[in-house]
Amino acid sequence: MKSFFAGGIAALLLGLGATAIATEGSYREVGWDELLPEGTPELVVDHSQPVDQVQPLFGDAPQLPTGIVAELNNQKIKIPGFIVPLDVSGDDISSFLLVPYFGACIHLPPPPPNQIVYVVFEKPVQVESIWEPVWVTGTMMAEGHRSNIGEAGYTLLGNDVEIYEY
Amino acid sequence: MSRLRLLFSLATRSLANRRLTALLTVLSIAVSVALVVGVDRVRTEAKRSFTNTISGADLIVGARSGPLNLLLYSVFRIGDPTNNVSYDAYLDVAARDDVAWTIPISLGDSHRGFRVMGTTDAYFEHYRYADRRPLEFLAGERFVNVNHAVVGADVARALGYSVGDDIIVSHGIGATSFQDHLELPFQVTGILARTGTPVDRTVHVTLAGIEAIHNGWARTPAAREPLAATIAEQAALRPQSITAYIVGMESRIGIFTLQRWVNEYDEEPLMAIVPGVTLSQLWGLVGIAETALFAVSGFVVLGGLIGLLTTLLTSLNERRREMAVLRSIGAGRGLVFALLIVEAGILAFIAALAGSALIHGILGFARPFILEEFGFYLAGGGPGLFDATVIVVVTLAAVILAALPAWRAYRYSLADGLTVRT
Repeated sequence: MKSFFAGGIAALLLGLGATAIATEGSYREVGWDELLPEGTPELVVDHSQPVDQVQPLFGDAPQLPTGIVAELNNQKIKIPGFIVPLDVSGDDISSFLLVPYFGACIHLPPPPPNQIVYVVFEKPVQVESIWEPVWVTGTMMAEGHRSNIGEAGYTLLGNDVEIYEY
Repeated sequence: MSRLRLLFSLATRSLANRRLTALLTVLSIAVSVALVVGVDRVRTEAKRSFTNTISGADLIVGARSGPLNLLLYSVFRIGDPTNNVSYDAYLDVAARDDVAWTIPISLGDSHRGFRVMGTTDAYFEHYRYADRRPLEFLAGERFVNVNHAVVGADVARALGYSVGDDIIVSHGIGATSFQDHLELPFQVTGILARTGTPVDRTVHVTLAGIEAIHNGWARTPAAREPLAATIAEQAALRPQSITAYIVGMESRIGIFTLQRWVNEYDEEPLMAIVPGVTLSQLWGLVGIAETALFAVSGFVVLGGLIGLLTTLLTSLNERRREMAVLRSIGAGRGLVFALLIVEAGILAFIAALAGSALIHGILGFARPFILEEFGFYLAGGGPGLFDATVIVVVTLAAVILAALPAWRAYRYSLADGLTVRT
């Protein structure tokens, strides 16, 4: 339950951070709401509501926000999030999924495909703690892998990962 | 510059004069440094070998238990499966559009202490370890028939198998069983190249093979015909259940969607885990022991440094004359202070260097033995950044600690002047 709230708070903070667009180096800071295409109902992780009312936003309900923002293609971005490690070798991580909130809570369905970023690194990176929120910089590839099965998503060619400072 | 050189030459000569105590001090610090570097080396290598066991797999699905449990028995062959999943449920998942490939795993039998795993061709096609390396054959080829077996490198070496040998599979996972499945001898068709993972200690057979040894088909005369067990007959040996399966996705973005789908599967309780996440959790647990080991080795280094301090302090008294002579020939008090600092620095530096060299020598020497005994390949790598850090830290710590004896020597040389009152 603790991580449930922590995730919620972090998501809230990330949401706040998302509105303030700052540039650091050549990487543009991008918030998770910018990954949603136009006309998507606003993504709110509101824990005060019964789970049933939150669910349709993500689940298999018709208003599932799909699709990606093609303008993000080839953009150098900096995005905050949580790491779900995929390819790990020792302390090195060569690919992971970046999600806007921590996935330990089983009450909520997983984020929709356009709220997940698949991050791959040419050269593996070392991440101090994979349980901490991080900033990831890299070049966005906003092309769906498999549009025929509705799993269009974002791939980020990762440059660097650093621990998120609150 | 020449002053510094003078300091060094004085310090080294003074040390050479007391070479036995100096050597022992060096030894005690060297051993402690070797311990720290060794702990780090083994930790890094263990973690690498551990995380290298499975690669490129997106989800592992099994009966509902715990993520760690599922990962341990399906990938590491540690512990026992809690339950099997039905073959139909497996096909349901395998048939999904977003699933690229699946590797079924059926466990529960053993061969002379090695686990027997039922699987399909997909295993040789899609199983990846250590940065997406595929399995390779040292000899022979994949299994085709019900009674074919492909053994891992350790199995072949430990039991002296070569392609064409007959083996008997036992029930249960103990080292031996008194209920052998005598009826169906398996024939070794292939031997896998070493991977440094639990694959090396596994006997692989077809899913139909597992089924055959359990449902009594093996007792029928047909099973004794060498050519009887063809692919066509495998259809009759359709498995009822399997233990777990590894899933590769078309798109990794879809991992969570499938995971949720599996976890909410209505027909039977299933569980899907993301191997990377569970590995990290598991390593988080092991990490506690790791920290404890580091703390212990850190204290050993501290002990070594205190030993150095003790040696320097006790030697001061007998070196009063040495200091007095130095002073008489014009050495300043500052030089006396610096001399002791430099001495400590030299001792610690040599010791740390020796310690690092010592442990790398030992590990290099022990590598074949460790591989033989524990099936764990301790990659060399040689001294790295960590060694450099340890050497610098130990030398600096020694220099700082030496301030105490240096200060005392400084005071003595003030008080004593040329006449040492002893």
